[in-house]
Amino acid sequence: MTSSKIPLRYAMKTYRKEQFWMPPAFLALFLILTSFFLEDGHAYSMASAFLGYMLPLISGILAGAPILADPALELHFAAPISAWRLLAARYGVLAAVIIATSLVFQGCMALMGVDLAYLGNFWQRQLVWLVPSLTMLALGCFTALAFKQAASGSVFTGGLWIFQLTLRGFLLSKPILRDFVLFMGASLPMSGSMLVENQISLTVVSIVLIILSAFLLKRQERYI
Amino acid sequence: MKYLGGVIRYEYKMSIKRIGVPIVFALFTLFFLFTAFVEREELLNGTAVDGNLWSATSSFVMTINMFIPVVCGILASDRIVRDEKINMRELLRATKLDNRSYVWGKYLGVTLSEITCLFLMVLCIGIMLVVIGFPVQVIPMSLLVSLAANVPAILFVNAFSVMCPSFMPVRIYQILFTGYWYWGNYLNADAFFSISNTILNVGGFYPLEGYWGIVYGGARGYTPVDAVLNLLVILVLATAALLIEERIISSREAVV
Repeated sequence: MTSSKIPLRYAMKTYRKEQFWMPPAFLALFLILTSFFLEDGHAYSMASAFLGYMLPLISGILAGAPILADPALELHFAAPISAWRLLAARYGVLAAVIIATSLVFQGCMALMGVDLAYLGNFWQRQLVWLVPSLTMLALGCFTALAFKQAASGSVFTGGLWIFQLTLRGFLLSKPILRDFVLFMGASLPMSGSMLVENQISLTVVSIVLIILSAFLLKRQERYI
Repeated sequence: MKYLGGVIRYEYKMSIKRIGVPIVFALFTLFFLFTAFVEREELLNGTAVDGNLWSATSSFVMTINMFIPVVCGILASDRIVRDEKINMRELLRATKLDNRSYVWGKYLGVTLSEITCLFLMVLCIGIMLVVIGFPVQVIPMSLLVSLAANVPAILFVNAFSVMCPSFMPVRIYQILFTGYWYWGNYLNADAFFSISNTILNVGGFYPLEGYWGIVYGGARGYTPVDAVLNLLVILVLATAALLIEERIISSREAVV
C-alpha cells in the first residue's frame, strides 16, 4: 500500500470521501427503518434488504469512482506503482468500508434483538452480502475502466441491480441463470447446494473481472 | 433560442457519443429480442386469445420501463456536475448563454439522445415481433405505446437527475434514485409504504390502462382522465425541478 512510503494521513486525503461516509449513512438509515419494524416482527426483512440488496448496490455505484474520478490520476500513473497495487490500494479501502459497515450493522441487529439466523450460520450469513457486493464492486470497476468513465460503472451496476431485482423470480427459475443471480443468498438462504453453486459462480465472475480490470489499468494512456 | 438550440445540439452529441449509452441500450435490446424469440408461441397465442394487439406491445414497453429509466437517470445525473468539475461553467458564463437556456439545453439534449436510443430499441423489438408472426402495424403501435409510457418516465427522471446532484453528491443520488425507482413504482403499497399507488407513479400503468385498457399486474381502474392527469403531474414536477435547478445555479453564481 502507499502507506509504506507516504504517511497514511496524506494517503487518506487522496481517497474520495464519499466512500467513507456513504455506506455508514445508509447503515444509519436502515437502522432507523429496521427499528420501525421491530414491533410487527418484520425487522428481519429490512435487515436482509440492507445486507443482501443495498450493500451490493452501494458497492457497485461507488466502484466506478475510486480510480477514474481521482483528480490526481495522472500523478499516480507517473509514480512507479503497478496496476495491481493501485487496484488493491483503491478498492481495498472501499471493500474494507463495506465489510466494516456490514459487521457494524449485524452487531446493531444483535443488540436490537433481530434474529438473522434464517440467513444461515455466521459464516453463511457473511457470504450472503459479501459475494454479491464483491461481484458488483468488480463489475463497477471493470465497466468504468473499460468505458473510461466513472459514470459507466454506475450505469452498468445500477442497470444490473434493477434488472435482477425485478426479474429475480424468473432468473431463479432457470437452471443456468440462477447461478448468476446476485440476490440468491438473501432470497433463498436455505437453498443448499444451489446457493453454493451460485456463490462459486459469482466469485469466479468477480475474479475474472478483477483480472481484466488490472489488464485494462496497465494501459494507462487510455485514462490520461 | 439560438443559444438553447446550440446547447441542446452539443449536449445531444456528447451524450449519444458516450460509449456506455449505445452499449447499455444494445444489451437491453438483445435481451428483449431474445425474450421475444423464445416466447413467440406464448405471445402469439396470448394475442390470438384476447384479440388485442396492444397487449403484445405493452408487455415489452412495461418491461422496458422497469430498467431503462434507471439507466437514463444515472446517465443524466453527472451532466451539469461534470461541467462544474472540469471548469466548463466558467467558460460558458463568459458567453451570452443564460442559466435557463443552459439548464433546459442540458436537460433536453441528454433526454433527446436517450429517447433516440429508446425508439431505436422499440423499433428493433417491433421488427422482431413482425418476424415472429405479428402484423406490420405492431411497429407503429409499439412506438406509440412507448411514447405514452416510456417517454414521460424518462422526462421525469431526467429532470430530477439534472437537479438533485446540485445539492447532494452524484453517487448518493444514483443509489437513492435506483432504490426509488423500484420503491416508488413497483412495490406493493398495500404491503409496504410506497407511493406506487398514487398519481406520482411513472411506471406506465396509468397510460396503458387509461388509454388502451391494458391491465398490467392487476386492474387499478384508471380512466383516460387519470392518465392525462398523471402525465400533467409528471410534466409539472419535471418543469418545477428544472426551474429549481436554474435558481440553484443562479443563486450559487450570484455570490461568486
